[in-house]
Amino acid sequence: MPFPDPLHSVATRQWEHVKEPEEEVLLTAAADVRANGSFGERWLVVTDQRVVVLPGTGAGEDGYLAIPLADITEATTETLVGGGRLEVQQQGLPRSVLEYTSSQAPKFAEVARGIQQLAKGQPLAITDELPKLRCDKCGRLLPEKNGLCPKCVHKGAMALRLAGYLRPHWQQTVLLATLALTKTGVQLLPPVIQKTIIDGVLTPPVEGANTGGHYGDFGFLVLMVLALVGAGLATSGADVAAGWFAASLSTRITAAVRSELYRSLERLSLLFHSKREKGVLMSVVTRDTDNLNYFLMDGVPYLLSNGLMLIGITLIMLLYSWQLTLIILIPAPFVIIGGATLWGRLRPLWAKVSQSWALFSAHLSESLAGIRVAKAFSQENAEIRRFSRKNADLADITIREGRLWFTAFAGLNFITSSGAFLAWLAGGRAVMVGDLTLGTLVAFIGYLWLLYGPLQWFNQIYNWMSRALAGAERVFEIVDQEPEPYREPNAIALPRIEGAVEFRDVTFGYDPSKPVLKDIAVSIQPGEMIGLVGKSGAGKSTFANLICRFYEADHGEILIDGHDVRALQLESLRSQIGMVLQDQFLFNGTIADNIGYAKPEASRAELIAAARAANAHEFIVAKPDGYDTRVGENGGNLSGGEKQRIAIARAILRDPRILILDEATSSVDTETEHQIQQALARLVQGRTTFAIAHRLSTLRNANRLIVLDDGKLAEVGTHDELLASGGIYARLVKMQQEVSNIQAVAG
Amino acid sequence: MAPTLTLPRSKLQGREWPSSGGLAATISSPCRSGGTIGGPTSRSNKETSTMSNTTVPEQDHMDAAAPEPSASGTLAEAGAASVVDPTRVQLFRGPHGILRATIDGDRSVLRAKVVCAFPLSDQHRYLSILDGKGKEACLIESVDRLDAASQRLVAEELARYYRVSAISHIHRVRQEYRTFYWDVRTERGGRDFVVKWGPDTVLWLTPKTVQLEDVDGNRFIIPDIDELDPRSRKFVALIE
Repeated sequence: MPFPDPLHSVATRQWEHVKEPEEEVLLTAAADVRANGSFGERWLVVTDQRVVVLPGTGAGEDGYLAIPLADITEATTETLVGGGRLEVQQQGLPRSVLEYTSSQAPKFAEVARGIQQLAKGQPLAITDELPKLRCDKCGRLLPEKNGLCPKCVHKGAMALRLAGYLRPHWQQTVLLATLALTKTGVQLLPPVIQKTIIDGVLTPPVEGANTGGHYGDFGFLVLMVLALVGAGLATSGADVAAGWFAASLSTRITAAVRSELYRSLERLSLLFHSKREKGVLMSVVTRDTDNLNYFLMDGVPYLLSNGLMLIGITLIMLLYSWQLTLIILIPAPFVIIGGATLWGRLRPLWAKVSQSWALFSAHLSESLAGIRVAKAFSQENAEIRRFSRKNADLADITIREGRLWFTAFAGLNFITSSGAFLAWLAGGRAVMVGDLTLGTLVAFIGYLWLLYGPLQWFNQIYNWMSRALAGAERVFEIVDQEPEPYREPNAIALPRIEGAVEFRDVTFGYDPSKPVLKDIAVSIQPGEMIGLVGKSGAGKSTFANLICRFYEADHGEILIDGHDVRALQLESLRSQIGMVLQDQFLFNGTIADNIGYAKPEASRAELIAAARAANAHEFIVAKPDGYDTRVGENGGNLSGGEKQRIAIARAILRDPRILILDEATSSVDTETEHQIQQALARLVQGRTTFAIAHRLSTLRNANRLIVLDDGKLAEVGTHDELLASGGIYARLVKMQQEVSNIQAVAG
Repeated sequence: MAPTLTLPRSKLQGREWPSSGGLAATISSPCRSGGTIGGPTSRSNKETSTMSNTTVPEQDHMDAAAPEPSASGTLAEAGAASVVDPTRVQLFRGPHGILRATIDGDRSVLRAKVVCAFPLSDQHRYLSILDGKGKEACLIESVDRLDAASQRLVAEELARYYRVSAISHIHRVRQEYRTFYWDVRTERGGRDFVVKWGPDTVLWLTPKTVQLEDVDGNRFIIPDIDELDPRSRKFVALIE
């Protein structure tokens, strides 16, 4: 069946009209933009002879196009804002084939590759694994490509999954349930006791009626009051005990969920992290897990005890008087509907409050991180204004939520009270005509409040539960994401990498429809030092990232010592790769902690040796606290050159077999650079090294240089060879020489 | 090989081109080469064959004297360096409907692309004309002073490049926490899409205009929420 979309009946009929005899269809794909730009299908058919766009079926539409494959020299996709365009070079001139929305960009990136292969006379070899946009089960749009369908994530299943965390604490769980049951039973007692006091002790007996013979019996009254006190104490005791266990249980469960979430975050790929805002992730880790905690701590015990209470009260009231029970239950549907309406209105507001908090956190985190820039440009007041606006937005939405809550809640309370009005009216009349005792009426009214309280709160509990389960869903959405393959059972462990690296026709894009590296093929020998050269955005850092398998190639293979990196154990691969980046990240701890980060079991002697090799030892011991100096948040207490040398020491301590230096010396002064260069010269010996530097003079020791241009491998060779060839590298060298001449003159 | 061929200014005035009936003719009379709206016409296709025989395909633009900001100049000088008088710029369609541009007395861009410098905040001013390599050939401060045909082409190109669909009616919006499922009618037809609420995806351009970017990167705009029917307006309230 042709890839990716099989022709449907209308398209098949269209194809029948335009197909040539003996033409073999190799690829068919439906675009979602018509020739006139509107949304709708437009079919592309690629055969062994032609690229054909079928005529459209809309009114006044045509858009038919047929280009012989022999005329095509190149097929590409052009990225538009909110869409894309498939283009071919026909006899050296660009030609637009069709357009599509961004949703179909990955598909047409593959289609372009396919056409390119066919135009070059190669066999068609494109992937059939396109990102999933809709749920396979229900057909709904997915919240993200290949993501989970919220509709198909069953709430019951989510609750069961949460309940799974209770298993290690089953004794406490049973105890909690018993306490809830006890509390419910005890809470049902006071209205019965009050009834006994009124009807049995305070009301003169009516002839023929059995009131127990305690009229005027003070001793019995004291006994009953003591029973009331006992019930109150038992309720409070059960409350305290249940709260105690619930707090401990819920906190443990939430802590377990939070740990699992953080483990997942650490193990998820950089691709995942690059697509998620840090503030939003923080909000999931903090607020969503908090919501879960509150629900488990307060909501579940409430649900349990009040559910039992509702059943108990209804049974008791029906026992006393089923007629009065039915009358006072008249407002119940209104309470339930009113509650549901209220929570329906509150739910989006809660989402907005939560969203505002997430944005507020993200803004706060960004503005604090950028405080140096704000000060440097005297923008403190502007930042304060921006903060105030966000703060006011947050306050506004919280006020709206609060006002709606209190207004609606007051209304709901009034409806609830109407049950009491009806009870007094109907119950009072029943007492007057002697159908009901006064004590029974008072007991009814007591039960009424016990009944309606949970009824109006059940809605909130439902929403509370929805919110907590929605939070749990977001948590589990992250937990369930495919982590980086750390523990593939068949992965190969390489105890010692020799350092041979080979790129075999590697294509990669952070968004597959926009390749950053295109068909890179190069082989590097163990111990070689390779300089990666090219303009900003040419793909140099991406090249290095692929070696570490931070990302996986969309096409082609990357081999380390002859093994595909995807077949290697991730830890065994990364533990033998060292990276020194332009802007090194240091953790908030001591210098020793940061050097030792690469090898936590390293001895102090090893730390010092690594620091010496990195030309860092002298400046470290000159500090008052030496290796115990705290570096501050992201090394804020150190200079750029110091941070850089600590990072090099960290890399040296790891003793990597493959070393990646990404602009490792670009942000320091000449003297520091000299020291760092010395350190790096020691570091690169005997290791395969990839050095990225804009300052080409720093790459003069490289065995070979790889020049990347617009993601393509433009040149490979030694410094002298590339200079002699007069290509991109030679031009870059010449430009840098000119710049340094200008600087020298200006200086 | 360098994609840009630098020629003296005098050579761009049609005298020293390989054939006076080829590109030179096209440049001097842009409207003849498919200046009509709606893509390639039979006339432009005819001119394609002429052109393909007479031009060097690798050339993206013929650059006479690309203005460079002076190193010692002021900020204003640097800013003005690539700004050209719109009356000197003409746009027209080349073979296969590809946009071309001539900047009178300066250069001809064989594969031009028009982009807005401020696509969200000011779509009518500061339009940049780029060549096939994405280098700016010139900057036009205002589109109003282009000739009518060029203005139409600019509008066409911008509509194609910025594929932002204007929402005229909202059938339904379903919210699941921070994810919104939209079912709408736009000037391009009906569409359903998913937006994850965030500062970049729900972007209020003005108090009445909101741009939505879905999870795939498609863009939708509600140009004026007051123009929506009451039911649609109610759905917008979810993201206000």
